[in-house]
Amino acid sequence: MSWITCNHYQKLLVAFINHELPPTSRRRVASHLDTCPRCYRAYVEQQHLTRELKHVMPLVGQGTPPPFAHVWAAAHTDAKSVRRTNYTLRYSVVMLAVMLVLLIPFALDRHSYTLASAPTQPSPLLHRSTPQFTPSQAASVSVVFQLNETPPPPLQSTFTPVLPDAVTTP
Amino acid sequence: MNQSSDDFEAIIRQCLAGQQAGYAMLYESCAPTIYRLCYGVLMNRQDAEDVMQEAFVYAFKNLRRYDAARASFKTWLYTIALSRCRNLYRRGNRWNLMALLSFDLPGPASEAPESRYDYADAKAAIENALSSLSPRLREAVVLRYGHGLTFREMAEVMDCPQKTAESRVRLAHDQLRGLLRTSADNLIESLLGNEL
Repeated sequence: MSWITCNHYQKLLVAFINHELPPTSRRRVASHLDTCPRCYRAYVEQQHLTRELKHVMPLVGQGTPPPFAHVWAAAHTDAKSVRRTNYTLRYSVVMLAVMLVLLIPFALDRHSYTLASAPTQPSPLLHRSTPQFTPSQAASVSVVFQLNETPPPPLQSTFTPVLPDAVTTP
Repeated sequence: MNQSSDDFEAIIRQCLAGQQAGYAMLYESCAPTIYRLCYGVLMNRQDAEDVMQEAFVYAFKNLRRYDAARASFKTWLYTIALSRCRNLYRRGNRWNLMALLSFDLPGPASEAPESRYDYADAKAAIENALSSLSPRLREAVVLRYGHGLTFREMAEVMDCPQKTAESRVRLAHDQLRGLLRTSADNLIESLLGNEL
C-alpha cells in the first residue's frame, strides 16, 4: 500500500517542483515528503535535475540561424515551383490525350463496325404456305396420310439380292 | 521572441500589406528561438537549419491563415516547426544512423578533469542524454525547459492532451535522471582512476 502511495506521489513530483499543482494536492505532496525519506530523496534528485535542465537547456542549439535572404529566396522559389507544377491540370491533359488516342480507330472507320442488335424472330413461312384445315378436314387428311403411307419392308432374316435380268448368267 | 502579441500583430499586418521589411522583422525576432527548438528536437545542425527554413517558408506563405484568436503567434510558429521536425524523422529514420556515427571520443589528457566539468560539459552531457530519449519525450523536455512553455501551451504545440504532456515530461525526467546519474558515476570513476 505504501509503495503504491509513494509511486503516486513520485508521479506528482515534477508538477510539484514546477508549481503546477492545485493547492490541496500540493499540501498533500508536501506532507508526504515530510514523512517519507525515500520520496524526499527522489524529490531532491528531481529538483536538482530540473534546476540543471533549466540552466542548460536554453544553451542547447545556441547558434546563428541562416540569414533572412536565404529563407526569402527559398520562399520565392517555392512559390514559383508551386505555380509551375499544377499536377491536376497536367494529369487531366494526359488523360484527355490518352482517351483521344484510344478513340482514333473508332473515328476513322466507324462504318465497318456494326453494333450487335437483338435477334429478330424469322417469319413462319411454312405455316403460311400450309392450307388451313378445319378439325374435321384435318382428321381426314391424317387418315389419307395413313392410307397412302407405304409400310416399311419387313425385316428378313436371310436376304437374297434380286439381280436384274441383264446380269443373269446365260 | 520577446515581443508582445500586439507587436506581432503589427508586424503581421505589415507583412500582409506586402512589405518585405515586415517579413524580415518577423524572421529576425523568431528565427533564433525556432532554430533552437529544431536543433533541440533533431540534434543535428544541418537538419535544424533545413527544417527551420521550411517552417518559415510555410509560415510566410500561410500568414493569412494565422488566427490570433485561436493561439499566440509563438504557439503557431512552434506548431509548424515541430510538425516539420516530425515529418523529418518520420521520413527517414536518421536516429539509428546518428547513433552509429556518434563516437564518444575521450577529451585531451592535458586538461584536468575538474576544469573540464563546466557548463560546456554539462551541455554536452545533456545533449547526449537528450539524443538517447525518444523523439516525443525530447520534444517535451525541449519545450518545457528550453523554451519555458506551460503544460497547456505544450499540449497545444504537441497536439496532445495536457495530461499527456505532463506525463511525457515526467517520463523524460525519469529517463534523464537515470542517464545523467550513469554519466556522473562514470565521471567519478574516471576521476578516481586518474588519481590512482
